[in-house]
Amino acid sequence: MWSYEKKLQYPVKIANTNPALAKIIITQYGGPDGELSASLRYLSQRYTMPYPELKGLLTDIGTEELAHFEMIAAIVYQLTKNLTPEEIKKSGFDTYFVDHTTGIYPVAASGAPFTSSYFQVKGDAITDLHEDLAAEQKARTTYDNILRMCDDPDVRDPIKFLRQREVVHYQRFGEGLRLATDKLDYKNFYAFNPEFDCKKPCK
Amino acid sequence: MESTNEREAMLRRLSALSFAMWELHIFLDTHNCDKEAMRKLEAYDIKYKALLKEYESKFGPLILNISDANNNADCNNRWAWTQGPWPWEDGKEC
Repeated sequence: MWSYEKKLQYPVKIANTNPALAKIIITQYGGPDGELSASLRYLSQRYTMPYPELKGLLTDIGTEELAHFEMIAAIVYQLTKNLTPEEIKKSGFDTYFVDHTTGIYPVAASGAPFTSSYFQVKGDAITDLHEDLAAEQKARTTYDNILRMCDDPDVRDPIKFLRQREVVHYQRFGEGLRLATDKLDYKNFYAFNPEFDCKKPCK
Repeated sequence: MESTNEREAMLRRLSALSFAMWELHIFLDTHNCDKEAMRKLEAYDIKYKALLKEYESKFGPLILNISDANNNADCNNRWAWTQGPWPWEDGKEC
């Protein structure tokens, strides 16, 4: 289960609206390398993951990604407040507006709706941890690209925080991969799949 | 509004403390015998709990505690949980 704290992980306070920027940033809400995809990936991979450290890591990072999902929603919400029809048309936000008004819906910047095909649960510890490492780097690149297109310091500040978290999670998953391989056959890491072939309780 | 600024300033201090604790917590997932990290986590936790208590007494609950919320004759705390600003809001919502 989960409980809710009535605060963001990092504050979001944006003075000026910018629907064109919101349309780009929403990709981290429901896009291929976004926070929803990240959270569901880790929280789904953890059930068959062997080794206590990895179950803990996937649970905790998957939970933190939900807090990031909320921060992205806060950014998009504040960037699209009190818009006039003219602003909506001129900014290109009209293609989103016609379907969702200013509600927050998980889509990519292209408008493609969220799909679980953005992530994988392979059921193999080494494979899933490599996916997780790649996912953190893909999200980091997306935040770098957002920062290239954004000069509002109110938006750059929380985006820079989120970018930095991708780097920290990459570090933690790297340590997780090392913990996993240390417990496998050092002559052949692929000799068996610890999520499927281990009949006895895994140490 | 002065109380809004005080609320935001206190919330930022709380967020900074809880972020430091979270960072130590996920570090400990992969370094579960690191005594230095554990010591720091405990020190931050003491500061966080004291500040959380002060914040909640002034500005309402961040984490809903059923007995605290119900132990209040005029339902103030129950009302405060649903009352804005919610975390994504700027306080100017209609």
